[in-house]
Amino acid sequence: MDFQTLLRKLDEFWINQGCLILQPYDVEVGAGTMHPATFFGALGDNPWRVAYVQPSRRPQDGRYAQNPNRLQRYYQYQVIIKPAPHNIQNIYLRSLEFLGIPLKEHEVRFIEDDWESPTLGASGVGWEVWLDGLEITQFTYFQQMGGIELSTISAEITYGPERLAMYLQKRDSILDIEWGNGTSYGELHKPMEIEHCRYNFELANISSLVSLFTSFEKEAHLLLDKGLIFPSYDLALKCSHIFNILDARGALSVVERAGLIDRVRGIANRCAQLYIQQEAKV
Amino acid sequence: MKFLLEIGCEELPPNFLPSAIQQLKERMEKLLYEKDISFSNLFVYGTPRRLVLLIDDIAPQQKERIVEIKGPPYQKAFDEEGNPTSAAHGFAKAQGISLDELIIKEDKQGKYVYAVKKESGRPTEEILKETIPSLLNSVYLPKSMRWDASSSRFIRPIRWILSLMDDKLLELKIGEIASNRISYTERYLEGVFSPESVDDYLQRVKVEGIILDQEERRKIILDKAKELAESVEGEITIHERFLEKIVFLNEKPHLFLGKMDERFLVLPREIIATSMESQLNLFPIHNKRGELLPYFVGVRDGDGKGLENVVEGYEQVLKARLADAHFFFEEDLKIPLKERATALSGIIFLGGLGTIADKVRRMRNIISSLPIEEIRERALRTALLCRADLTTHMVREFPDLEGIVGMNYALLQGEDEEIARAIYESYQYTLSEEGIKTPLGKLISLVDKIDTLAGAFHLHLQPTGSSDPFALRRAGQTVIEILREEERFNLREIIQAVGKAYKEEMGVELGGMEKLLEFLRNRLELALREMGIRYDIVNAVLEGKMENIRELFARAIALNELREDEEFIPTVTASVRLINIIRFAQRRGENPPEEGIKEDLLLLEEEKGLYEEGKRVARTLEILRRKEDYKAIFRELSSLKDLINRFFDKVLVMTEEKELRANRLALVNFIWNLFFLFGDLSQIVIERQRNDASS
Repeated sequence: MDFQTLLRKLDEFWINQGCLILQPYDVEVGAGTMHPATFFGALGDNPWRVAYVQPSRRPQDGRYAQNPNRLQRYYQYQVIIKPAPHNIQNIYLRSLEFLGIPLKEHEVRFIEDDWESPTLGASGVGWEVWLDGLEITQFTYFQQMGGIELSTISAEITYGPERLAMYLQKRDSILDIEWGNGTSYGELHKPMEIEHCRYNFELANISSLVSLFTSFEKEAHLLLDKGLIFPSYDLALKCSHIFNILDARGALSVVERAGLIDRVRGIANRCAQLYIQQEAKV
Repeated sequence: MKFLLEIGCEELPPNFLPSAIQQLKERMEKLLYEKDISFSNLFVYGTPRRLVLLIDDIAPQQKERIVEIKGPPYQKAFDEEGNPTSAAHGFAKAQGISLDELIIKEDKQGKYVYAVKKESGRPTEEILKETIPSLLNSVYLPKSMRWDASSSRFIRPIRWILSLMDDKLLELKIGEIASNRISYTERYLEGVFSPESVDDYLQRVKVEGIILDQEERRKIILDKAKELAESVEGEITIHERFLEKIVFLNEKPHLFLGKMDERFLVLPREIIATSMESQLNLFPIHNKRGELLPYFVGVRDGDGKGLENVVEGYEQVLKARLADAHFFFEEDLKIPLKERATALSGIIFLGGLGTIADKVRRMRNIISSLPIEEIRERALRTALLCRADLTTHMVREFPDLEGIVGMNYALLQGEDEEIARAIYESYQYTLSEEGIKTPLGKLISLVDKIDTLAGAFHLHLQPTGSSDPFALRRAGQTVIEILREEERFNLREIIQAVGKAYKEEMGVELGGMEKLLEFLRNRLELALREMGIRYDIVNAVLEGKMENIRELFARAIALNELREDEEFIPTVTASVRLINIIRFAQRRGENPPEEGIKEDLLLLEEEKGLYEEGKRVARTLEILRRKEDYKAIFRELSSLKDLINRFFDKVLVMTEEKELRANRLALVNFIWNLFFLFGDLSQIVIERQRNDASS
C-alpha cells in the first residue's frame, strides 16, 4: 500500500466513524495536537470528531536525511474524538485491520506513555502503540489543555503514517517509502530535508529569531487584550516554532529554555481561557 | 462460597500493579477482619488488563455480635427517684428493646444509658456492595485520570466489572460502569464470555491461556527464557526490576527466540542490552564468559498464531536501532575523548555559569586543592575525560547511556580500567556494586556533584517543594554518602576548594553557601532519620561539628544505641548542667575566658578532682577517637558524671569573685567541650518517669 493510499484509507475509515476530515493547518507546528482543531476542539463540552493529516516540524530531529528513521519534518495522522467513546481502543484496532493488518497474526501492545506539552499547558494519559515491536501510534486521553482541567475527555489518536508505510511496504528507510505512482518519499522530500537541517542547525540567525519571538509574543498579548483568540494562537505557534529552532541551534541554556517555554504557555493559556469564556456566552 | 471481583481495564502500567495488588490485598483483609467475615484464602492478581480479587470460603454473613449503643445521659433518662423518663422510653423503643434491657455505664463524660443488643450479622454481599467502590478508591495512584463523564479516577480507564458470589451476580457500580455477568478473554469487547460462576470464570480464563497469578507467570517466563537461551548455548541474567516489568506486561506470555545481526556484536554490550531491555522489552542472551550472543528472548502477549510476524517485527526494529547505534559508534570513535574538550565548550552548564568545558576546568582545579596525592594524577585525567561523551552521537541519541558510552570509549582508546570505570561512576548517584564503588569514582562523583550544587545555589536554583529539575536533592544525598565513606574529605575543605575553583576559573565569587550548608544539613538529617535514629539525637549530633561526616554518623549511631543504657540519662543530665551554666553566664555577657584554666585558682577538692579527671579523659578520648570507638568514648564521659554532680553541689560557679568565676567557667567549658565531641547533648529529650495521674 503506497503512502497516499494509506492516508486515503485512514480518511475513509474515520469518515465512517463520523469524523470530519479537515486539512493541515498552515502554520508550522511541532505536532498535530497544535492544530487549532485539536487545541480548541478539546476544550469545552461540545461533541467533536475530526481527523486530518498534519505535517509536523521538529528541528531537533533532523539528521540531514542520513538517518533512516528521523526527519525534521514528517507527517502525523491525527484523530480527535470528544467525548472519548467507551470502545475507542477497539475502534482504533479495527482501523489497523482496515489497513490490511490481520491483528490475530500480529502483536499489538499498548505501552504506558503519558503525554505532556509544556508549551501548550497540556497533558494526557495514554500509551504508545507497538505493532510487532514497532511504535506506530500515540494514544492519549487528554486531561488538560491550555492550562485548563478538561471536563469532557477527548481521545487523541496520532498515527505515524511513515512508520505504518515502512511496515506495510517492508522498507528500512522512510525515504524509500513509495508515495504513489512510483514516486518515493525521498524524491519528494530529500532536498528540502537537507536544506532545512542546514538552516536549523547551522544558519538560523539566533538574534533575529530571538527578536521575532519577542515581537510575536508582544503582539499576541495585545490581540488577546482586544479579545482575538485565533490570530493570537497563530502567534503562539510561531513562537513555539522559533523556540524549537533556537533549541536545535543549541542557543538556549537550561534556564533560558524554561523561560521561553513559560512564555509560549502564557499565550496558549490565555487563548484557552478566552475561548472557554466566549463559548460560555454562546 | 467463593467471591470474585474482576476490574477490566485498558492496559495498566506495569510499575503500578505490584503496589496496587498489595494494597488491595491488605485493605480487603482488613475490611473482612473488621466486619467479622470469615474466609480461608484471599488472592489478588494483576495483569495488564485486569485486577482480580478472589476469596475462598467466604462466610455468607457477618458473625453474630453483641453491640452496645450509647443513649441519653443517665440524668435525662431517669428522674430523681430513679424512674425512667420519656427519653428512656424513646431510646428503648427506637432500639427495639424493653426498658429493663437498658444498662448504665460510666465514662469520662459521665453516666449514660446503653442499649445492649445481639445483632445478627448482615449478609456479606451487602457489605461488599457498599465497600468495594471505596476500597478501589483508596488505592494510591501515582498518577490518575478521568475517562468518562463521571468523576471516577483511576490509573487507566476501567471498562468492565465482573463481581460474582459463587454463581450470583453482585450489583456494583463504579462511576458509569455497572457490574455485569460479562468478561473478556482479550481486550475489552474481544473474546466476550458470560461466566456462570466463579469456578466457571476461573476455568474459562485458564482454557484461554490467561495466567492470572503473577507468581505463576514469573516462573513460566523465567523457565522458558532460560530454556530458549540454552537452546543457543547461552544464559540470561535476570534483573529483578526488568523481570517484574515483563511479568506485568503479559497475561498470556508466549516466549520466542529472535536473532540479532552478528555484525552489531562489536558494539559495547551495554548499548546492545539497553536497546533490547529498556527500549524493546527483550532479554539479551550471553555466553558463560558474559559475552553477548546474537540472539534475544522476546515475550508476546498472546498465542502462537502468526508468531513469525512478531519475531520478524522485533528483529527488524532491533536491527534499525542497532544500525543507528553502529553508525554513531563508528563516527564517534573518529574523535578520541581527550580531543572532545573543545566541543564541550558548546554545551551550556546551568546557564550563567559557563559551559561544560568550564565545569571540567573547575573540577580539575578542585582536585588540585584536595589532599589526595596518591590519586591526583589519575583524578585529573578522569576529570578531563568524564564529560567528553556528552559530545558523542551515541549519548545524544541515547541519553540514558551517558557514562556507559564514556567508559566504553575510554577502554577502546586505551585508557586504564580504573579511569574508564570512574568516568561511568561520575554520572552515578548511588553507592553500590553497579554504581559508585571505586575510590577514584567516589572522588570524581563527589567533585562533580559539589560543583553542581555550589553553582546551582549561587544561581538561586535550589529545589523548592516538589520541584527539583536539576536533581539537586539526589546530588546532595550522594555527596553525603560519599563523605560518609571517605573520611579524608572534610566538608569545609571541599566547599573552600569549590569556592576557590569558581573564583580562579570563572572570576565568580560564589554566593548562597550558607543556604548550601543548610541544605546539606537537611539532607544529613533525612539520612540519619531514615536510619532510624531518634529525632532528638539527630538534632544533638547536627548541632555539633559537621566537618567530618563519617564521624558524625558514627556518633549518631553510638548515641542511638546507648539510649537504652542505664548510664545514658544520668550522663546526659550531668552534661546539660554544664551547658546550662555556660548559657546562663553568656546571657549575662560573660563568656568562658579564652586563656583557659589557671590551676592555682582551683581551690576546692571538687574543682581539682574534676579538672584532673577531665584531663585524663581528654587524653583517653584522643586515642579512642582514632579508633572511632564512640561507645567507649561515651563510657569515658560517663565516668565524669559523679564528679560533675559533686562539683555543682559544692562549688558556686557564679561566685561574686570575678577571677574565680571566670576560672570556674573555664573549667566547666573545658569539660563541656569533651562532651561536645558528640554534639549538643542538651538537645536530647529526657522523658520524665510518667505518673499515671488519670486514675
